[in-house]
Amino acid sequence: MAEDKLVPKMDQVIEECSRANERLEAALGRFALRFRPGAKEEWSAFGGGLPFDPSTMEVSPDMSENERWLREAYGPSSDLVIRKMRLGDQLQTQIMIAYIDGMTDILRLTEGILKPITQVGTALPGMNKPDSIFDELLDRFLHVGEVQEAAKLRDMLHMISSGDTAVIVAGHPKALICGLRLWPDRGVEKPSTEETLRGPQLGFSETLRTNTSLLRRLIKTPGLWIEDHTIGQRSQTSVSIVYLKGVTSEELVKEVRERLNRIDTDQVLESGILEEFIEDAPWSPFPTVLRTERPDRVAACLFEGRVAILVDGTPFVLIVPCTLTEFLVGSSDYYERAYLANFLRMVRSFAFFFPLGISAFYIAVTTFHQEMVPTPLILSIASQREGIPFPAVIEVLLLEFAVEVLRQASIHVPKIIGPAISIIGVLIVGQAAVMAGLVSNAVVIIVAFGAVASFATPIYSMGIAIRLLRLPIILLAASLGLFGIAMGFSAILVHLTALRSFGVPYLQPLAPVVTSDLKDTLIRLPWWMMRTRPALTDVQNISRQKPGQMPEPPEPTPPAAQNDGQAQGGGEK
Amino acid sequence: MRCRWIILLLLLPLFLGGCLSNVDMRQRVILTAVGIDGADVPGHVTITAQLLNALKAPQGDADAVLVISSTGHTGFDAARNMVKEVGRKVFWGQIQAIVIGEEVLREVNAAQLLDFLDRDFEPSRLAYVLVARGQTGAVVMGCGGSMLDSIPVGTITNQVEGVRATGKSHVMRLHDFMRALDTPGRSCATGFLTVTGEKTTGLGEVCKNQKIILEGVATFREGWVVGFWDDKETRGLNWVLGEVTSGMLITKDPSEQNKVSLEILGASSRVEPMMVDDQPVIRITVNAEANIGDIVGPGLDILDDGLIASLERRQATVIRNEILAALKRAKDERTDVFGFGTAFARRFPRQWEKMADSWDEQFLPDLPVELIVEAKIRRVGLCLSPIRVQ
Repeated sequence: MAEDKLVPKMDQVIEECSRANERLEAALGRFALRFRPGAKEEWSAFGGGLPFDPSTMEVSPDMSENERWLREAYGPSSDLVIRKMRLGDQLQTQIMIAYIDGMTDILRLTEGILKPITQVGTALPGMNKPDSIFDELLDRFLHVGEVQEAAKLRDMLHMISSGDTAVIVAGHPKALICGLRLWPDRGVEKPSTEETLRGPQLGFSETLRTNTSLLRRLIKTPGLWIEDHTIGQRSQTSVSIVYLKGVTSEELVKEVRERLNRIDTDQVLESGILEEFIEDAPWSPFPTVLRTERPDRVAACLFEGRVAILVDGTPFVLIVPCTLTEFLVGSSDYYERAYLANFLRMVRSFAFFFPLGISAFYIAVTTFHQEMVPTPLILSIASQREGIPFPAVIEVLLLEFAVEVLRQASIHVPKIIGPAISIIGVLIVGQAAVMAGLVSNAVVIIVAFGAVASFATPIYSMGIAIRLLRLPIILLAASLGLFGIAMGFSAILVHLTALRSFGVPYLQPLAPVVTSDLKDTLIRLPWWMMRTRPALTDVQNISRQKPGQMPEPPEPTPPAAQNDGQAQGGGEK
Repeated sequence: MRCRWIILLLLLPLFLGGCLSNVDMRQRVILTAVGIDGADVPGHVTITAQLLNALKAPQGDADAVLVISSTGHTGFDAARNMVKEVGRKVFWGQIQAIVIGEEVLREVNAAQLLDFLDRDFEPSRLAYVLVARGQTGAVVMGCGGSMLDSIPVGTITNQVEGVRATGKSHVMRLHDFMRALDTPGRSCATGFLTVTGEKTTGLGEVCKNQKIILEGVATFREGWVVGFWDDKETRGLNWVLGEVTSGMLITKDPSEQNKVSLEILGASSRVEPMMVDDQPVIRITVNAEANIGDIVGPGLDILDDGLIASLERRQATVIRNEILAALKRAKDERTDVFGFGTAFARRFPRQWEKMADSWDEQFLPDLPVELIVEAKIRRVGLCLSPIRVQ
């Protein structure tokens, strides 16, 4: 008696608690999760908030129950399609086909599942046992390449949501999952943020399978291992760890795996979200994970013993570990001849630090160290400064702000009126500001050049780090002059030295010096000299190619032998 | 964590300087050259400065330069008094030339006149120190310079740079000048300026009619000016100092019929102090190389075996004569502009201690000098003999 009374009471308490929680969650937003006791358990439940917990449940032999679960799970969603059919002896066995409309290849569904079942399914004399029908389906009737069995409800729901088609036979405790995924895809296009003059013009797209296929096309060894993970409690995003077996260190792969497994969130919409969860220095302005949308770049990194992380739904692939020099490298560096590549790389390395210091240097020199400037130049600067109402630092900050606004605006402006906006924004406003005596010409030149130089960094995220650090350097320069700039640069250098990316020092091979790896830093040696892979964490098979492959003219044959050759083997050619 | 806070606290004082030394160019006026003279009141100093109007100077406008004179108890006082007229504080960081009037140099020691420029942190140590011969520094400041330069001081600095093509002057920078003043066994010698033409403009403006000419050197003894050397003597000094980089040597061929001018390609020198019988002796070795610049006369056979050798001997003689003239002048004036004393101080520090006090008076006039000149002619030009003039 007492128990009976107690149980409903407990239910009430639990219900009230959850209602209170909901209110709290609504009030505090996502932060509420942190303070909620026991959030972890509920959190890790698949698709928390469903009327039932599919992670502990099995696919039911009872067809109607399966259907009820599906309907309840997807609620009013109209894209869930459930098709019921009968087959077997006297069509006594019911089967159910469930898929998401718009994510499934309807043509193959018709040809591969519906047709065989409707045409041949009736001709199954004596087949009534669900087990034998299930096996028969799997063995003979489903004209589908990829078929798996799913026993857990959770797995089945996940597969259906991923675009697979589930075939459930009444009375059988497993579902057949047919891989018929097909959805609208942008297709493989040029990598929009990393175009190069020479090299493949393919970029990753939003579909994980397309992306792995792009990699597989570049690296045909079966040693290209693709390891699948699912991250995101609700988004259930497919994430692939890609590496070259026999080249990449097992430790590194293990570490990547562990860091990814540690992530417990409900959404992974882009690789950037993963990046923030797994990076070594979350508060550093410098990225310690490389992101790229070029398959050839990923392949090159894999050959160097790095690990790539592909995320479904984004063309941006993460690469770890990643050092500073890697950010200064463009893909075409490896395709152009060494001289041009080195020249471009030096220009780029210079341009990398240029926006960081140029405007700060201008401020420091014009407000603290006028004696350092040659007289004609200081005269020219002084004549421009004459009549400008602001101190140099305000002038620079104003323009830097204007440039940032322009940069931001240029992303959002519709392409058709883009040129018009840039003419108004840059030419007219810039010119007018100088004419009106608001800013001096020198500042316009310096800020504009700094802005242009910041685009010379091949990886956008590294350019952003420099853009962010520019402001504190400017303020230091304005308050302490060159001394301040030196302080700021030293602080950045110390910080860079302290950074690590998956166990690899950020400045390697420059600090600590790895002599053999200097071949591919500020300069790139010709390919036939790049004999070894970079010494990251315990790269296996360090040797990359046979030594001594420098192309040379053939040994001149002695005249006698030449005569012989002509006499004997004239016809060979 | 505590360690972090301590490091942070240790770093913070770095910012205590704040924007203290911040100079806004809009509140300052750039000074490019300064003339130093005496004043009506004995013991006072007049400073005449060329100030630049920043708005007009880059275009080279005639009125871009403002010439301002001010007087004070000392150089610094006079300099600061300039604010009264200008309204802005003067920025000394770009000063390029310091011109001292001859008259004030006879009355006041150069070290005292230049103390304020040497002591303050702002003036550039790279400024040239020059003497205005028979003039005041103020007059030099009022000269407009040549048409080629946008600002008047450009003429002075260009002359200082350009005079290396002749080797006929030797100008010291402020830093070297002050160091030489302070070095025993070494005297200052720096170029002097003369002014031609009449002043036609007002006091505050520069006058384009007046021209400045840089020539020779003014020699000092312990900060007092003692003489003005001519071209020949000055180049003699430059040979010894190893500072002849270019210039012309005029001589004749052995037949005395052709005038041959030699273009100096470069020269090096070595000054070796020696003690012979406890007496100081100097050995000067000069190596000079030259091209044949032109041959004026009835012509000569340049392929003649002995010709080049004899021309080289004559070249050496010209150089030797110049050095001897300089040595004689220095001994007469008892001014060690060559820095022989410093050479002894370095090489024989113990003996130098005994000589130091009476070096200029006692040792220098009788100092035996062994002079070795090695002259070489490297190239004869693109033609062998001159075209015969009918």
